[in-house]
Amino acid sequence: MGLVAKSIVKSFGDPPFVVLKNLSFDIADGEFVAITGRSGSGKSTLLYSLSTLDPLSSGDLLLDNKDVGGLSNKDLHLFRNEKMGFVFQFHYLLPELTCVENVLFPARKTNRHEELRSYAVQLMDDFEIGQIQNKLSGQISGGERQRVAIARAMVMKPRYLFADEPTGNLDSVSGEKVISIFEKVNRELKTTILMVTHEQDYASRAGRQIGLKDGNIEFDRKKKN
Amino acid sequence: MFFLAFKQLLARPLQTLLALLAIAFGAAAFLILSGMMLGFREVFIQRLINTAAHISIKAEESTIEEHSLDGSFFPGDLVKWIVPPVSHDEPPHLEYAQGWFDRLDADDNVEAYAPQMVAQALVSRGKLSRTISLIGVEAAKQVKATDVQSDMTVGNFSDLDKGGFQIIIGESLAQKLGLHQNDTLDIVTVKGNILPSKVAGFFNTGMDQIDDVVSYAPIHYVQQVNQTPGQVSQIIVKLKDITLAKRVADQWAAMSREKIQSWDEANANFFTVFKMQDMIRYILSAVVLMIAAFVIFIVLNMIVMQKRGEIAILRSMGYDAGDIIQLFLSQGLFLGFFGGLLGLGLGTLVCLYIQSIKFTGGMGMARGMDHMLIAWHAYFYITAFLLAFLSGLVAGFWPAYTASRMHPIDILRSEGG
Repeated sequence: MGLVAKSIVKSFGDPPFVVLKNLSFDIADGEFVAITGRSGSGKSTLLYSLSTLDPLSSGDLLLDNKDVGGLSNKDLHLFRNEKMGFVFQFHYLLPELTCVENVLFPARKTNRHEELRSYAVQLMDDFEIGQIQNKLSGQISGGERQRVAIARAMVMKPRYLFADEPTGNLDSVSGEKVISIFEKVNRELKTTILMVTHEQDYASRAGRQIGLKDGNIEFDRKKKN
Repeated sequence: MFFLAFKQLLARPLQTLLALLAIAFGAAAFLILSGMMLGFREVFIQRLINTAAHISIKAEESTIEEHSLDGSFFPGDLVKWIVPPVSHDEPPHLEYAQGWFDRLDADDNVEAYAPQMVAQALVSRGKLSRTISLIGVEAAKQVKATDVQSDMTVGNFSDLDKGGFQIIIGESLAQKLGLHQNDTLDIVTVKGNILPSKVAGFFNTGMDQIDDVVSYAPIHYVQQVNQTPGQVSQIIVKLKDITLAKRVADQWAAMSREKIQSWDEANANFFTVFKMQDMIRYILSAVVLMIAAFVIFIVLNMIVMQKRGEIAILRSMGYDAGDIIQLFLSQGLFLGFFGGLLGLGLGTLVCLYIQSIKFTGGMGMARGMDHMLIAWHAYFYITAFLLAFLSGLVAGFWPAYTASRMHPIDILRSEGG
């Protein structure tokens, strides 16, 4: 099983304000899941908790059949480096580096950036941004930046891709491109995708939607093919 | 991480250059200050040693006090003087100079020694007269034990041994009295005797308090003038190793009644001044480097604040807190390292320039002091570089630490995600 959440709880502050209220669900390998809900429903918190960036208050989280709560700090970072990709609302490209260097930056952690260079270029070609690989992020458009960010998230061939409002900052044409890239990645590379979005059009493109309301699962439905 | 650190520095050429220059100026300031202060000091000490001798052995001035003579006149009695005896018993001189000569001859540490008889006198020529300190010497021994020969500007010091009443005086005194070599001048003793003597030569030590006052004459004449035949008032000793001066002096002092001083004890007041100079040097350099460190600190802090989002993405990529520290700390270290190197280069150039500045006449500077003096020591370079590097380390640490403590989630939330 790709991802197993067992009665996960996330609370903040003291006295605790409970954001995620005892959620349990499974996500199979290769699923494309959209997490939806109003702002404040806890959807971003859920994403960050599932992606290990934000530690759980209680409950168990199994990724790739591993209890990630039991991993050492070093192993957790390595796991994140090798198995996970992140895309945020903002691209967060490093402005000092060219696009292809940005894409390859996760690979520098384990010194594999030379080995993966041709794959990075291939990814960029696939995402129709091959022609800008040697430009700095300041010299390209917003849509292109987000696609570079996706290429960066995919360069380690991760099992999981976590996306937090990846289209939130884009016009509809660029947003459409991002979603179709996600579909393609999910289809061809079998990457498990968890995407937070509040745009129903994009959410409906995912194979499964989990709707959150006030920290509880409101609905969890799969698309009928 | 070094790759990104380097790129981040290059992306801000102006800030990087500014920080580099600030560090460089700090390191250069230390180098230049040290070079100038110690350059002057070394020459000064050299002259001090050469003129003052490594160790001097002087007679302890013994005075007669109220009850000093009780035992001689009234042994065993309790004495009440109506007019108590007072005064020196005789002019200060070494009780048994020959004993010292034998001891010094046998001592392995001693390179050479020279006995001296010092007397106060007047020199007069026509209507002009000056008080001098007339030092009676054996020229051959004096030349071996001191650097006096190299201070000679006219004549040979050893000419004093050629016989006749000859005298060697300071060049500045000669100017004041209008004397040339082989002129005759009168020496008036404290007792009022007038002895005509021939000027055999001039010396110049560069120190007015010596050149104006000290004159050399053959020792037996001075003993005559002073009416103290055969007496020696002090012995000047030159050691094979000057660094032993203090130890050897203490050793000798422990087994004799004489006043034995090493050169550094005799000039203790200068060393106090040197200590203060050192303090000023370190404080000044510290201030400059603190400013430099502050510049680095501000630059790095600004970068960290601007790069919060990028720190978050780096963390999500699997770079841990240590990697983030490395990213920013290495920038501080880089600035410290290359700023330090730049400073050494800059400091060297400025020192070379300062060294080439010539004094133009009338400054009362002596031989060998016609240009600015700079000391060159490896440890200046090492210290200057370490100071620069350390300030980079210290300045880089706090921003790096702050950055590493930033939690990616907090950043993402506050950035409006």
